[in-house]
This record gives sequence, structure tokens and C-alpha cells, in this order.
Amino acid sequence: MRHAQLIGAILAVVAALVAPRLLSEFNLRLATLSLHTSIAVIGLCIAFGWTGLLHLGQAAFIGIGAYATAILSTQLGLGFWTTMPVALVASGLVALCIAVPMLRLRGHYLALAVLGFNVTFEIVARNWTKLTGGFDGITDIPPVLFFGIEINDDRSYYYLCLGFVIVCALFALALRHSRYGRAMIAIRDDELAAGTSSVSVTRMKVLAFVLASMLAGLSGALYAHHATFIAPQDFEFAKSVTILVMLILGGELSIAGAILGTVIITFLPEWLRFLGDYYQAVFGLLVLVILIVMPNGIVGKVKQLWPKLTGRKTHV
Amino acid sequence: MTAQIIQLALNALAAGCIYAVVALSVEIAYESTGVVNFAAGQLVTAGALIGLSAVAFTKANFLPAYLLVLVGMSLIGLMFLIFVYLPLRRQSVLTIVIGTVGVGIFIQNVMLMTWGPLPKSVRSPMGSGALKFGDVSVSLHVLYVIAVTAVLIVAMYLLLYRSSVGRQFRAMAQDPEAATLMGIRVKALYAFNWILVCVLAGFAGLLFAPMWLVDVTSGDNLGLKAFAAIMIGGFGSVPGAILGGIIVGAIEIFGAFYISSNFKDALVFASMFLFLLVRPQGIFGERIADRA
Amino acid sequence: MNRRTTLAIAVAASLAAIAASPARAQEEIILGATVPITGNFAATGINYYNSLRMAQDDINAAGGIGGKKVKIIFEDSQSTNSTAVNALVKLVRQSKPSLIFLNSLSVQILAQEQEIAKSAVPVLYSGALVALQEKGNPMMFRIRPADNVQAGVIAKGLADVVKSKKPAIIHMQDEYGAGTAKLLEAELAKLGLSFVAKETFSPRDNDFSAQLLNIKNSGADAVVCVTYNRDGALIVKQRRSLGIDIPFLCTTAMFAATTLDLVEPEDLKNVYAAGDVVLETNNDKSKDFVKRYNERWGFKPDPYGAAYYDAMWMVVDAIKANGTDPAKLQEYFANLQPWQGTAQLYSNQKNGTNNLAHSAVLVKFKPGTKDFEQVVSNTGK
Repeated sequence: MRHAQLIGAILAVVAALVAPRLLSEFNLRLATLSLHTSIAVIGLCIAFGWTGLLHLGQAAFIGIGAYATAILSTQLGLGFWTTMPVALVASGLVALCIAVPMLRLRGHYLALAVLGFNVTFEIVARNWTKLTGGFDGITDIPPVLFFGIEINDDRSYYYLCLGFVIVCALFALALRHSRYGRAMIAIRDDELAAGTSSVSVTRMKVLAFVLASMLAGLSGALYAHHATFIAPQDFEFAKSVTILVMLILGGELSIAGAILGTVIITFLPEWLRFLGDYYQAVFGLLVLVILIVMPNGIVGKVKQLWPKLTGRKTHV
Repeated sequence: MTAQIIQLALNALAAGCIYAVVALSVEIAYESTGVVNFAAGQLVTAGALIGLSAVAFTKANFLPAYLLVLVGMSLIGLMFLIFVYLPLRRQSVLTIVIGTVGVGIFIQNVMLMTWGPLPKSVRSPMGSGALKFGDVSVSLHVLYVIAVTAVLIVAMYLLLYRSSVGRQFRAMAQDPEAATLMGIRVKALYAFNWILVCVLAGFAGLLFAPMWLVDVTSGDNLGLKAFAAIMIGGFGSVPGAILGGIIVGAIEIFGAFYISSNFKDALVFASMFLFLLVRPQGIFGERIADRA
Repeated sequence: MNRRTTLAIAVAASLAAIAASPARAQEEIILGATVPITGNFAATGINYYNSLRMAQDDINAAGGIGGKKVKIIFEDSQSTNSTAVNALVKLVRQSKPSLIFLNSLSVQILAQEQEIAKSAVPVLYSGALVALQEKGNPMMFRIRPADNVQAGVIAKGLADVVKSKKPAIIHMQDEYGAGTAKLLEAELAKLGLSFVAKETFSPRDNDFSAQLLNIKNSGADAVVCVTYNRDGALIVKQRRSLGIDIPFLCTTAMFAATTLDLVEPEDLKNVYAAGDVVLETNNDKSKDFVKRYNERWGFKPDPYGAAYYDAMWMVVDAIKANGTDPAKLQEYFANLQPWQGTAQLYSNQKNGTNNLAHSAVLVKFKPGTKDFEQVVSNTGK
């Protein structure tokens, strides 16, 4: 199974590298969208999947990252490589500020409190016109410069995002297998036991929450420079719910699941467009079907079917 | 000025009653199964739109029309039970929560195809009359909303705390395994639960539509407000959900009047934070502790 | 359901997708349209979705253009900006239309603007935000009057018709409401007036009593009311039950038939509405359009729909004159000569805005009815 995972990961990276040569321009755009969104989903995987914090406000942190980079690059003319770290720090700092009081809450309280933060963020973004441009949003966000070359076509931007996704996935994997990652899982599985085994539960929760939000911020920065336009409605709480759907549908609360879930939820409604007026209803139905057929998500189903496919017995 | 405050209080109470009934629906689903129902808003809209068609079908004969809504919402509840809840019952609660997101998208778009996107007005069984007390004007429908909400609350109380069904229901909520061993028919109770959840949401729809018009997205906002209401009132508490709903209605309307209409929704969520910080368990607290 | 059936469904779905993808028949002229068909803004899209489909059928029933059938490929723009851009990208890259109709949601069009510039396909849109024309994108043509035209008519109505000294405003908290409020403030400043109360509401609000009572307490003698249809109907209803009878000057949604269906005649006492045009009386073309639209869709059209119906027929003339090459069509609209439609006398005044529609009216509802008469008109200079 271990080898299989490694081979799977390598195959996925190779497929992702050659994909732009095979995809139509429209599908390439969707692939790029999936890539930068998946960074926020990986973030949620850390906070929820491993630490058990039901964080229903990723869209707000995507928004903070997007606004930070958009404001700095349009008003001060700073480049992406300066604004992106600021976006990361900004979303991390906001997360830190709200984490301390909020992480005392558990389960659904936390989820709905963060959801409330998301709604409030939207209202502030709409009304703080001087900074955020209000409803009209921020237009003409400049393209990313990569060693002096403008990345303004979809194919190059795809590779830029792919690079970030690989880095984030590797970072998350390293975290998962570190002392911190094990502590996080311990918290999810049994907070009481983790508390007694001298792991600072609160500190770990804050760390997970802040990391998740920083990844969302990075996702937002990449979104802003891809769309070149942002407005408050891009960061509605409904998007936070979608991000959770992506993580659960991908399955097993894993990195691979996070990425797979994002790709499916991004592509599925677009592919269903041929159904005309019915496509959104069919999309809702398909989400249900996937859940019922694969209650542990797609990755979970693959793991379950693996022995049957290979004819070998494995212990998962 | 006093007249204005009474007027606003009445409107806040009417809005609060609607939020309270939606919150009650969300609360019952949560308390008995641990599921946060993200389709609540869409179920409310469904109640309103089925009501619209039923009133037209029965030629404004309200009793049979309401019965039709009752049947329709029960069918939705049963379908949710059979196609979503039972197959996913053994999975983590969150899988079912995501299931409700899928159900919400599905119901919303089926409604869009059935009733179209345009807003519609719905008749009230009370007609369109209003009572005037000096400068205060209150429509008969608003009084009707307040009365029906009161009746629903009392009925829920009797059902949950004073009947054998209610006892079994609460036993199931605490521990389904033990309840099964005690000979409680858990599946029938689950059916009862989801029917109740949908019927309550449907009632909220019947109540709000004559006041506020209805289109396929009407319920979305009500669902969100119901979540705020539950946060304020406290998860796992039926009286908390009701009081929370009324508080949210009051914050909205008095916030818009005294502070700023720009930030009235932000005020609702700011107060929610405040409640969480000061009293994380809400006003009435959670009886079934620590659901993750 | 087992894995195999799931797989089978997936395969069938993708095959159907391939089958349904537009096989470009030579004899068809392909146009595109992004419309909010589902999601929160579906109510704003229904009028032009219907009008465009009706125009397409009318044109094809009349033999098409030079013997070729016209086909509009509709893509749902939903309620998010990125879906709106997805829809446009899909149209531009996969369907390769000669021209595209965009919707009335200004923020979505702002989001689509870069892609429009890249695509070099002309677009006809109705988003009225002034910021859109300031982009100076040569591919974009507006087929409805910009918000400042409507604001001009309302300001004129405030000053000349209701002779307001202390106006107030209540508006939707979005780019349309906030933008119109700003334009009106500028117009009023010219007349030496300013708003004595400014109230707002959110898109899904239901109760407006707090805002309306604040306006009443401010001593306002007239109210400007910037809304869409559902909220506009609720405001005039609640205003009546609160006994506020000062004049209400509403925006275009108020006299759309779909809004009037939601109110009683008594709700419209002392209510004015600004809009593009009164379709029911404008000209023979518009009367015929209202009649046939109502027969086909079961409700009356609003000026939005009429603008798209006109636009589609303008495209017919453009293709007859210049062919289907996008660049040539762009030229046609960049030099549009006066063209009489159901809603407007369209022309390109070559002032850098690429606005094709220039006139607006203010109407007053007649007491005790849902009928109205024109009290101010601005035919545009």
C-alpha cells in the first residue's frame, strides 16, 4: 500500500504536468481554479481532518489573502512575491486574533462562530469602500512576475499554481508525520487523553487553525492574480461550505482526498452544463449519490477496493 | 415615539417567531441525530411554495391546503430518511451534514424548475386586513404568526416532554443503541424525527410567505438567521432556540433603527460572538454535552 | 448501486456531454449569452433569457439571416463571479460565437472584462454601473441607459415634480444601490439639495420598518427608493401599512409587470417610478412585443427584456451588413446609426462610452390603479 501510494502520487504529478497539453482552454481554466482552491482545502484538512476543528470560514481567509495582495499590488504597485507573503501573514494574524477566544468552543459552536465571522467579513468588505472598493471590488490586479516574465496566460499560471500545490501538499505531509501532526491527530481522536499526555492542546489547536487560514490566504492571493478582479461576493460563506464539501467528498480527510474533491466539485457542475436548466439539480443529486456510494469519500473507496483490484490482501 | 417602538417590537416579534420556528426545526434535527441541517432554508422555501400551489389548487380553502402542505413536507422528510439518512446512518455525522448540503442544492433547483425564479405573493388565511391602534398598525397575519408560533411551541413541548413518544425520542437522542435494546423502534422514531423537522420548516414557510413574498431563495437567509438564533439560545435546548430566534429578530430591527441599517446583519453576528464569549453554552446551555 | 453502475452512469454522462457539445453546422450562425439561470440572481435573468429565446425563434421563423439559422448558446452565469467568467470562457473558447450577450449584473461583467478584452468578441450588456464604461473596452456595448441617466430623471422628478426640499433615500446594499445613491447625491448637489436620511437594506431583507420609520422621523418630504422587484414591492407595501404617504420615487423595477403583480393598487398611492421606457405605450413594435411575450411566457416583459429583444434584431442587421466576423460586428456597433427598437432609439454617440441607449422616463401611478402616466422624460442628448 505504501508503495502504491508513492506510485500514485508520482503518477498524479506526471499527469498534472502533462495535462495542460491535453486539456482544452476551458478545462485548463477549471484545472487552474481547482489547483488554487485545493490549497484552501488542504488547509481545512489540517484544521478539520487532523485536529477536528470544524472550520466553516475558509472563504473569509481566502478573502483576506485576496484583498491583501490586491490592495498592495494595485495601490502600492508591489509585486506578487512581496504581496503574497503579506497575504499569508495577514490571514494568519487575523486567524490568531480570533482563534484565542473561539477555540474554547467545541464542534458545531466553533463551526457556526467561524461561519458568523465569514458573514461579518463579507459585510465589512462591502462597506469599507476606501480600502476594498466596496461592492465594485478591485479591478486590474496585475499579473504575477516570475523572474521578470509576466505570467498572464492560463498555461503558465496553471504551472505556477501546480508548484504551490505541490509545495503545500509536501508541507502538509511533513507536518502530518511530525510531532505536531501526531499531536493534532491525538487531539481529534481524544482531547482528554491528549491533554493528559502533556501535549498543549490549545497551542496545537491554535497552530492548526492559523496554518489552515494561512493556506487559505495563499489560495486567495493566487485567486486574485488569476481572476484579476475580486469583489466581496467571491468570499461568501456558501463558498466555505463548498470547501467543506470538497474535503469530505474527496475522502478520508487526506491530502489526496482534498485535491481530488476540489477537482471533482470544480469540474462536475461545469461538465453537467449540457443538461441545460436541470444541471444544478443533477449536481446536487450526484453529490448525494457519491456520498451514499462512497461514504468515506473517493479516497476511502479506492482504499477499500484496492485489495479486490490487485487481488492481494493488505492491512490498511 | 412610544408608538414607533411598539410598532418595531411587533415587527421584530413577527420576524423573531419565524426565525424561532426555523430554529426549532434545526434544533430538533440536531438534538435527536446530531445533524446540523444545512437544507433548513430550502425546506422553509419548499413549505412556502407548496403552500402557494396548494392554496391555488384548493381555491383558497385553507384547511385542506395546509393539510396538503403537511403531506408534502412529510413526504420530503420520508424521502430524506430513506435515501439519505438511513444509508448514511452508520457514517460520521459530518457525512450526513454534507448530505444535507446536497439535498439543499437539489431541492432549491427542483423548486426553480417548478415555480420559476420570480417572487410571488401568497394569501394569508387571515386575509389582508390590519388593526390600527393610534399610530400602531398590525396586520391580522402578524397576529396569526405569533399565535401559531405559540401553539407550535406548546405542541412541541407536550410532544417532547409529556408524551411517551417524546420520552422514547429523547432516549434515542441520548443513546440509540440502548434505546434499541429497550425495545424502542428506532427506525420509526427516525422517521418521526425527519417528518417533524420538515413539517416545522414547512410551517415557517407558510407563516413567512404572506408577509414577505416568496421566491426560491427566500429561505436561505432564514436558515442562516436560525443558526444565529441557536447559537444565542444554546445548542441542544428547545426553549433556547425559540428565545434565540426572537432575540435575533429584535437585534435586527432595533439595530437598524438605533444604530445603522448598513451593519444590522453584522450586529446579529457580533452579538452571536459576544454570547459565545460570555456564555459559550448559550442562554439555556446544552443538555447533551459536547457533540463534535 | 454498485461501482459498475456508477461507472456506467459516469461514462454515459460524458458520452452525452460529447454528443451534446455543439457540432458546428455550417448553416448556423452562432451567438452566445451568459445569463443567471440558476442561483440567487435567477429572477434578474428570466426576462432576457425569455426575450433572447423569443427573438431567436422569431428570426428563425422568418427564415433566419440570409437563409442561415441563428443559434444562441446559453451558459448559466449563476450567482458567483468565477462561474460567470467560466461561462464566458466556455462560450468564447468552445462555441466561438460571433457576438455575446452578457447580463445586467455589473459586478459579474467587471469580473468578465479582462476575458472580454482577450477574446476580441463584441459583447452587448445591460449592467448599468458607470464604472463599466470607464473601462474603455472597445468590445463592450451597453444596450440600456447607464445608471446616471436614471439618476438624472429621478433628480429632475424630485426637484420639478414633487418639489422636494428634504429628500431621503433607501437603497439596496449592493453596487447598483450604492452606485445610484452616489450619482443621485451628485445630481442633488447641483440643485443645492442633499439627503436628510440615508437608509440601506441587504439583498434578502424582509422587514423594512426600522428604515422607513427612521426616514419618517428625519422629516423627509420625499423618498428615493433604489430596489429590485421583491424588495421594492415589500417597501411600498410596508410604507403603506406604516402610514407614510410622502412621494416615493422608485427605480425601474417598480413598474415592471412582475413587480406590479405583487402589490395592490392602494400600495402605489403617491408612487413614482423611473425606468427606460413604458413598453405598453412606446410604439407599435413595443406593443406587439408585450402582447406576444405575455402570450408565450405568461407574464409581461420589462424593459430589460425588451432591450435584449431589440439587441438581437440589431445583431441581425449587423450580420446582414457586415457578416459574422466578430471584428466586423464590433465595427457595426462602434458606428451604430440611429436604430429604432421597442424600447429605445439606439445609437452610438461616439463619446467613448459605447452606450447605445440614452433615454429614460419617470412615471406616476394613477390613484387607485396600477396604470401610470409619464411625468418626466429624458431623451438623451
